[in-house]
Amino acid sequence: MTPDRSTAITESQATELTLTLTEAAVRPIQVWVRTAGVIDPSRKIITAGVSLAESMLVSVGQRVRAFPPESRSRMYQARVTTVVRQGDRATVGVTLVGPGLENSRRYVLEIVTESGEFLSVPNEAILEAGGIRRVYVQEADGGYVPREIEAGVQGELFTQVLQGLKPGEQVVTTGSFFIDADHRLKGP
Amino acid sequence: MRSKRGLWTIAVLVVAGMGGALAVTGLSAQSVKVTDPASVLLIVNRDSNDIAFMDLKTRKMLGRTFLGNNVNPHMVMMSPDGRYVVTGGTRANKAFIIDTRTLQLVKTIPVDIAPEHLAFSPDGRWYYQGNPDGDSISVIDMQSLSKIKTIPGFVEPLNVTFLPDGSKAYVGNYGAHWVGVIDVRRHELLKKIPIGEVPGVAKLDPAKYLGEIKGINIAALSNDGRYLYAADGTLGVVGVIDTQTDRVIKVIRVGQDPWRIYMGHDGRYGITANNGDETISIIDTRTNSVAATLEAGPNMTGINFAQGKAFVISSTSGFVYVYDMNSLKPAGRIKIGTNVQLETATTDTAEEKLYLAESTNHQVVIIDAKTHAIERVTNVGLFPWGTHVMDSKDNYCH
Repeated sequence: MTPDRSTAITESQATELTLTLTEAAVRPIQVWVRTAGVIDPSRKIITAGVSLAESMLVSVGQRVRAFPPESRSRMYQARVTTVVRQGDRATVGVTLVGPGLENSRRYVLEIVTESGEFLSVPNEAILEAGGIRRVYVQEADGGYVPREIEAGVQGELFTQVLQGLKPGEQVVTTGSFFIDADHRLKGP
Repeated sequence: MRSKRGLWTIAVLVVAGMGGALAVTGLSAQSVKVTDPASVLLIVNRDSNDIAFMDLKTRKMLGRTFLGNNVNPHMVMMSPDGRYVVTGGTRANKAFIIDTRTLQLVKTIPVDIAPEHLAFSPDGRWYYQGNPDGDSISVIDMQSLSKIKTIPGFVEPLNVTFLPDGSKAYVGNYGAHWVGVIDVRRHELLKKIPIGEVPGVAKLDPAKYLGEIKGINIAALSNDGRYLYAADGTLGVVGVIDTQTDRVIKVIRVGQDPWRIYMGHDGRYGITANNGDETISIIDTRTNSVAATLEAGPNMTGINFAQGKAFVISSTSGFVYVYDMNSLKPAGRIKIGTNVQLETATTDTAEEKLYLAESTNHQVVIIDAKTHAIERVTNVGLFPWGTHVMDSKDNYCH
């Protein structure tokens, strides 16, 4: 890879690709811990298991999005009410804000955890190959250059950037695969 | 209610959308107004051109975000991650993005003409803004907070419904009799699904069938996400669409001029508000047939569900009509006021209270779904037009 060679994109290509840029910026990153659990007869409390590592992200009071597998179009709001760690697993208790759906025993849970505010870019901007992560950064002349980054926390929409980018730099999100292919095709 | 508008086809491809959302970092305690996005009621104030934020527990106003003069926001919605609140400004032809924590307006995005209804993809990545007078959908990328595309080819598009897996979105066209299917990966109109044939009698009565079209407001999802129910006003029917084949599998005749269908929370029934004959049609989704037709009020603008009941808002009568969803019989009516205009309502996630916008007196009326007692929160802003609670199953607009 030649890190300093710029790839130019024509206006028509950009139109075709709906090429989109996003700023590397400090943002709150959410990680959603996904699991599934069983609701109790009162149709209020769902109990689910998570790994110990995941449980370290989970705490009482966090918001949960819950839905039965057979009712995927209706979201039930809930809160984490208990977290019990034992060995390499943890049991999480979640209480629905409203009544659960009748006849639905199992629920899919998305526990919304806030990891903090970090310099980050959209997940879609990051291309990964051979263990190396890179993004395409827009240069002053309008061209795009690949830049290797070191990634940290990966959230739902954004990934933390530990090294390789500065706040304010514009990275390619939608269209990054095309630019990468074009960059490789043209060679060093 | 809406009227047929001029047909426009404006294909605007916007590329290289610049990022530049104002990152809100290092917030001081004073600048954070909302710590829990699920704890607030959002109120769209059409004439004071702002979005108001009310604490659901204390009923106190936490703040209002002014959008600009002559904006006329129409519908408001919170992003699935709770980070942003978005609305379309009908007279400004712009979408507005507000930071939920600080209530600061962080981005204003030009869209197409007269933006009204909107929806988020389930993963929160895309915000689809319907532009009824532009006959288009604007696609806004919630990562870059920029418009990346305008999808043309609709006819007065109102509500957008995403499939739970986010692969397709369905658009109700109020100026036509078909539902548009969008491929969400490419943001392109894939298919038009006609709900019913305009009858041959159109030749005899063209004013009825070819004049002002009252088509499809929304295609509402069944609970399992497999089927869509789309009411067509002029045709007086509900078409049932199989989302696997994108074909109509059944057409159900309902009352006259159904405004739209509202799905009950357990998915057993859907209800159409038939403004032509002032009735409601209750559709059993297991048999896809009308289980009951009941008298209601004039000019219905919304239906909410809570405590095993349906609450039907009759905008000009000052009443909310109540129906027992077990017996499918009327269960009384709630008088909100005299000579008042009722708008739309949202239901809290506990399904205990309804928050009804009443625009004449600039207030939100809170209805206890169990007792039918009401409580008023005044001075919420000018002409409150709609309300929103995060993750409510009754978030809609008229």
